[in-house]
Amino acid sequence: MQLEKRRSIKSMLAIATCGVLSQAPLALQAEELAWKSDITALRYAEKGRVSVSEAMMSFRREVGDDEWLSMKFSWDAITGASANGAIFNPPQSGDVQTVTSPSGSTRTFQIGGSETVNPLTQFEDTRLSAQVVNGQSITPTFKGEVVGNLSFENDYDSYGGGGSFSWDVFQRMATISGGISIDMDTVRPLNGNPPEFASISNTTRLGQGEKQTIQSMLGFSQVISRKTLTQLNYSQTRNDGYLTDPYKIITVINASGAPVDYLYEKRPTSRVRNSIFWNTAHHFTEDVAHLSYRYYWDDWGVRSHTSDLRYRMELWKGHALQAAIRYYTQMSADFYQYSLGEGAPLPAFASADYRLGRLITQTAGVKYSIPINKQIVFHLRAEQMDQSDADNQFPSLGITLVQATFSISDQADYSLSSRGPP
Amino acid sequence: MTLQRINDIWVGHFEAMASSCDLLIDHADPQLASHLFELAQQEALRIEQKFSRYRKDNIIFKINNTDGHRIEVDEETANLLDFSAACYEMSEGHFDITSGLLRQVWHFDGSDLLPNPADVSALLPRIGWEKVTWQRPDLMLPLGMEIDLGGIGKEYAVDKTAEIISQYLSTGVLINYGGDLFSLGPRRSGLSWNVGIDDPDQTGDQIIVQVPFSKGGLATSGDARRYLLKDGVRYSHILDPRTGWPVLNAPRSVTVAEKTCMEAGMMATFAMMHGKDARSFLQEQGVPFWLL
Repeated sequence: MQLEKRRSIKSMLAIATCGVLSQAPLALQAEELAWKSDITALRYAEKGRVSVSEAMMSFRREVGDDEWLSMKFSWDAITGASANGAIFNPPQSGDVQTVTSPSGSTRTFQIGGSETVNPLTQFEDTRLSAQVVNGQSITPTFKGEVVGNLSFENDYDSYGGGGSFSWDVFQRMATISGGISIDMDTVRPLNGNPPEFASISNTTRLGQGEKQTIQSMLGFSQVISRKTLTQLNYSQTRNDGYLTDPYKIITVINASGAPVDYLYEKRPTSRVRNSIFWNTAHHFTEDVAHLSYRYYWDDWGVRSHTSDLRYRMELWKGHALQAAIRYYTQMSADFYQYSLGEGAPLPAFASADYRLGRLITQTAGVKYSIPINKQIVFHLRAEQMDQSDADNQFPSLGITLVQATFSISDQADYSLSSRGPP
Repeated sequence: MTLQRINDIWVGHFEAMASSCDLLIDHADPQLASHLFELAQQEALRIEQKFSRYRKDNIIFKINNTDGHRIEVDEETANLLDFSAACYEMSEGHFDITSGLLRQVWHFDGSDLLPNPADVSALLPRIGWEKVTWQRPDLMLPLGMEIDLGGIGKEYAVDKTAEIISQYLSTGVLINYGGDLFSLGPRRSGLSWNVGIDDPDQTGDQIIVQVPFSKGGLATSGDARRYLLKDGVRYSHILDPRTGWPVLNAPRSVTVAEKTCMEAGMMATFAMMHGKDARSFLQEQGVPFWLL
């Protein structure tokens, strides 16, 4: 499966973990249960492209007064077709072609014949993952957690662990939190990884690819008033090793613009990713509004902005409705290239993976919560995500997502740990 | 003018503004296509005649021969001067229609013949839009100065042609004047147009990137075949009007997509002016671009 997706999930999970720690303390439950648990089922389908089924279970129990243990297991299966980087709607033999040029000249002519590759690759993948967290209140104001996680899928393994802390300061009006985690991943497609920039007709395969991820995070949250809480996080992730996606290709075009070959892509072997996240929550009499913004940048040239607004309305008898909108824009990586010229010298790196291109994503969703009894809450979440490539090189994606969660004495939102689009 | 049919598309070709000009029309009616070609060619030739710096019978010649006297210009020229003045402002003097004089000393023929620095410096007092008095519709150019609208002329002709053709068709038309493009909309099939970007190293022979392009303006700026090379330093034909010397480390080729061809062309030119910072400049602007 694809590295980009893997990484972003881990990063989201780790950030989500840190985020939980820097939130305001939850009110204590009236009745203590030995194990608190959540069960979530998720299914999403893109129009004719990909469908994902996912199930998650999580458990948490207190061990004594100041220690706790939590476990999370998830299973997901994904099938469908994903853009592999080959040109969509390649010009057909006989079609008309025109040219723009730095020399200020132009020409228009008819394209010669060529064979083309389907820009969508069919795939099927199943993933199993587990996470264990042990946390302890070392002093009344200082908590620490250690985390271990592993995940397996058909062609990808990941093992990792880390630690995090949260420290309440200024009479618990503010919290400083931090964390670090390390993951070791192995990519091993069925027949081995293709050599970088090899033609897809080349059958040579190399061994597996390995990469290491170190993520660190520092956060600060502050109670501004009795009703307002604000939070600022910085996180940095370093990836080293095999960061190329063995399933992505790039089209080589000839002098008339028609595809003549397809090469496996090549990415640098290191990447430093940074993000700054700001979130403010305000409690009205009953309702809660969250406003957040994230700026992301990395040394591949990718930049992104995410703005998110959510509003939770308390209805009658414990029912609640949450509406959310999110807007995401991304600038492409320096080596993002839609095609390569035949006979032109190869660049140091090149990828036509649309996830490294210019993207705009709009998401709107609602979540409805129904209390079944004192301890069980049923959540139903529906979301529509529309993603378009700002350079108009790939067809837009429309994803409709429906998620159902049973929460037993704990209200956890798993939206952050679900799989992103392939 | 030649007219041919390639795969259901009418392709017309003519020469204007020292460039090859192509017009692609996706429409069944050959008479309409032929009529639109005539309109396009008329408009391109009209703009060339009116604004070319090589003619002696147009407004540019008149302006450049006022010997320091005030001249009243027509509406269209005034619009272009306003646009040029705005570009001068927003580029902080990097784009300047009075910089054409530098061509007297710079000859970008691929050789290593750099001009004498003293000759370049001698021209600088006669360059700089800030020395011009422009109070629409009156222009006063100091003695010895010249203006040249070559930097925006082709893009302007593309947008003007699009304006005329849009009275007849609302989609299925691609205008390409010397690599500056405007598309009224995708083809009848809904497919975008196949627009290739030339390899700056082998321009005219090899497309290096295929850009599906369906609507708006697209323009490329670059130094292919127009540079000087001395002691391993490449001097691009993009001159900084403030120094009279080429911008260093300018990209070989910048292609930008924008709402209109004029905007795309200016954005590509501004990016070239930023030299090695072209990429970050374009990223900040948030426009689709292809940098080679």
